[in-house]
Amino acid sequence: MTITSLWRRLRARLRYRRFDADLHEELAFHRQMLKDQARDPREMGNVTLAREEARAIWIAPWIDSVRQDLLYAARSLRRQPAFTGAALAALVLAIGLNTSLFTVFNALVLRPWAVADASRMVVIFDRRPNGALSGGFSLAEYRYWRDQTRTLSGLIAKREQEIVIGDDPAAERVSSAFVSGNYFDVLGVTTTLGRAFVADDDRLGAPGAVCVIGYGLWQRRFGGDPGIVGRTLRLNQATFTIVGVIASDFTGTGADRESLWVPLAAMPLVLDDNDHRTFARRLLNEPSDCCSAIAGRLAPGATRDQAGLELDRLSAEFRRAVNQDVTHPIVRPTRLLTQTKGSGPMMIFALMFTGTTLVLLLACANVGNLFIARGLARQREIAVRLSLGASRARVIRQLLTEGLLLAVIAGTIGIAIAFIVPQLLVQAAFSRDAVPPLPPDSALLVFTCALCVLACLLCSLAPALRSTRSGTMPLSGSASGATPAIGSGLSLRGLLLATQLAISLILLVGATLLARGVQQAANQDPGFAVDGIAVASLELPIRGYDKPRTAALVRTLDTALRARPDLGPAALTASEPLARGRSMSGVRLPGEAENRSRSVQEHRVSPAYFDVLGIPLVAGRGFTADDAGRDVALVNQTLARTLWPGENPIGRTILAGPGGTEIIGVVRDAHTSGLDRLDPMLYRPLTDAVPHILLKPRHAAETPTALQALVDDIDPRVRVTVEPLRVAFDRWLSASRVGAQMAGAVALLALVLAALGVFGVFAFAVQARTPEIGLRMAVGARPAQVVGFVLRSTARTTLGGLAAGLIGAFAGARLLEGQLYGVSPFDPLAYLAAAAMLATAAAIATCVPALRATRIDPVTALRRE
Amino acid sequence: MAPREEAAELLPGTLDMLILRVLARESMHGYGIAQRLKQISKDVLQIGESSLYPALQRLLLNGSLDAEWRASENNRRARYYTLTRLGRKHLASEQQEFDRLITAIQRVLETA
Repeated sequence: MTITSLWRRLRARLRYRRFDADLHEELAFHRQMLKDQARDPREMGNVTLAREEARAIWIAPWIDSVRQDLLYAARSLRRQPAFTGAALAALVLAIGLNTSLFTVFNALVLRPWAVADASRMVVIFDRRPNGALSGGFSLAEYRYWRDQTRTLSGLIAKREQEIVIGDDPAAERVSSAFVSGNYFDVLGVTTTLGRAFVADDDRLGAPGAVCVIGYGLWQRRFGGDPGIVGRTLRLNQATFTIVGVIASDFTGTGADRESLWVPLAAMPLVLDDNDHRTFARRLLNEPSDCCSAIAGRLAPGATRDQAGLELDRLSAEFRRAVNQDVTHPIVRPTRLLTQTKGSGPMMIFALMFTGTTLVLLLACANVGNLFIARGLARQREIAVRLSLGASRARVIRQLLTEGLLLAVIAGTIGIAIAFIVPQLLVQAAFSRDAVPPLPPDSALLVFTCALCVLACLLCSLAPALRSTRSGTMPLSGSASGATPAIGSGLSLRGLLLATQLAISLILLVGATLLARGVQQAANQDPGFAVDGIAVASLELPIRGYDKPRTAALVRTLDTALRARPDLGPAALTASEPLARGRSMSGVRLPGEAENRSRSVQEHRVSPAYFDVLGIPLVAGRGFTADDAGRDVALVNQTLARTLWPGENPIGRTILAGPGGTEIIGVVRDAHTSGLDRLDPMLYRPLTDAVPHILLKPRHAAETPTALQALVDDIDPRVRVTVEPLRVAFDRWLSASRVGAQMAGAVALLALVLAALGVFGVFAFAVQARTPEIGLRMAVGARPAQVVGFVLRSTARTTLGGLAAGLIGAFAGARLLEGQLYGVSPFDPLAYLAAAAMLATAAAIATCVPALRATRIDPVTALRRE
Repeated sequence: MAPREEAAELLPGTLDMLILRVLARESMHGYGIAQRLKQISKDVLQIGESSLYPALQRLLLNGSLDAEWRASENNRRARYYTLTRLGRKHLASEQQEFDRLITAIQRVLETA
């Protein structure tokens, strides 16, 4: 076929109507000429055939018929807005929700690092004796590995740090990282200005005082100044030179977004204050000083397993040489999933994902039922077409086209939703204010489209096949002639309905359990006073508060508060109740080896802490002024039970830092770290950590000003923010509350869909069996009996669905256990509530069709037969 | 009724060739082509619309003809077909092919 003929065909397709009109006119002219010459116009022959043959030359017949199918499908969908609307709504919601969740999941959890060829990058973890994975090794060991490894073409080390840059008053705290000299090379990250680090910058003992900044920081703080390379920048107390700006899409390889990178060897220059100088030097050199995060790039042809074996060997060699306990490095790919320590967000998403997938199935079942009902209703039309000569394949193709059209529309809207909703989800679930746009990736879109198309094709295929089965149709008579009796045996529609009921019951139970959980959390006794307590946070100026000055501040503040009994009982603490961060400390019993130390929460508090929060002492005594200079601590009941089960902990010693610490008392457990957990806690006197003030104010309204005035007397640069503890408490709950609300929304959606499904099936049942009902009424059945008859016909499916739902709920409820704040997964109240909701919805759904059944006029019904 | 679809018994492609030959002399509309064929062949070839118009469309498609709307003899709007240069080439080659075929058939009939 030549270009010209293709071009002509294209033009023909575009100007279809014109060509058709032309041909029509031409034939009319011909007929007219015949008449003029007094000849029989019938000599022309089959005009229609002429036109069709002519048309067939221009437009391939199959395209023509597909076009016909599409137009017809669109028309028939438009003619039945109820069906179309219901089916579209179901599909769009389910697909849109599902896609959105998957996008968020993908973005937060499954994405590997945003570096070149991320699949060849690996992260090295250390497996502790208690099985947990820790994220680092000593730098001395890192250097040994780096020099000896063959399976890794590059090994990098990193240590995160917050650094204060710039001079007052423009100083700011920036998330930064100390990195090895080869960091950017190995990762394959480029600079948009200047250069990245070279090996020389990271020389131990003679480091370069250089740093590299991130794109965001460059734009924000330096206004995108093109002359930034070579300018100096104050890092803490030292002066560094900026040598490069990183390309915009890189924000580090940790969970925080880093904006500044400094060579590891320059750590002593940056951390140059009294507290950290020795620490930095030791970290760089001592094998016993942990921990820096290690990652590497696999050499071409090497596998993760090979790297694991090699590092295992190297580590053993190194540790034997320096007399350290041997450990086993684990090599993992760089997905965030493996590095997230908290399983909280993960769990939420896994659950939500399951929930929405179930809703998707429910929606598909619903749509399937709709299609079946519709197919049955169109029996006549299909029968007519079949008898006029349409091939079965053609009719099926036409029905499938309708399904496909529906799928395409639903998929388009679903994708649009997928562009908007993910950000909203992340904001709600993590209560972050600014979330970067989360566009769904192409694989996801393909997944959605495929899902959509598959769903609709499947949903329309079965009814299509059934409706066109030859020999089913007496043309006369109502549509019910070919309806299989509902409820007898396992009809497809019955099965779909049962599935819908089961799924919605499962989701309802899940939602009610979560709601009960939140209710429980809100009502349970947290172990400390919440109402009437105000928490004041102090914001110290960025520079100028090292350890000695902070210690002085604590002492002065303590004295000042004690001199003001009119304000109310007050205490100081380094970590406020329900704080987001935690301060952990390693605790060992005397005689235990170093690698057996447990990670325990440590709270630095003033003696009045327990009084103000209302946490009672259950044994021993609290802190007093005499304890100054001595190393004493209090433990909570959980820690006491863990360390000395069944024994009296008073007077015992633990090793938590240099020297032994004596236990002088035990306090009752309190949920200060989270309403859903009771962690072991260690309490020590507050000396030199930045304090929060806990106050039980006599006059709540005056508290902020009074406290600010008090602090201003000590240091006017310090800012005080006051928040009632109740607010923090509610905020803590809100995360779970949001989760319960979302689950509730999903469950409600499922309920509505299921109710619609029930309604659809019953309505159809009544309509299909109208003659039968008419007959029954004609021989004397009462309305109640009629309703009973209709209900009974679907009893089996309904009960089956409910039973399956209960079993599913029982099986799945265990998954929720972690989120329920102690409510049992088999809490009868929740199950009862869920069942009641479903029963009510189903009852309402059957009301209308049942009423309609009772109003059937027997005469009309019988006449239809 | 006189036999009509004799064109159907022609070898396929022959009709196209005949149309091209008719149009080689002058441009005509569809009715005119059918008339001319009927006339010249002394009523043997009577082409019906279901063959003529598809053939015309086919020839339009492969570029052998051009079409335009003009006023006919009795001032009605009709579509006139003209032979293009490509069409002349097609006509020549098809005539050649047809001659070969006819010669071959004749030879068989004579000698066999």
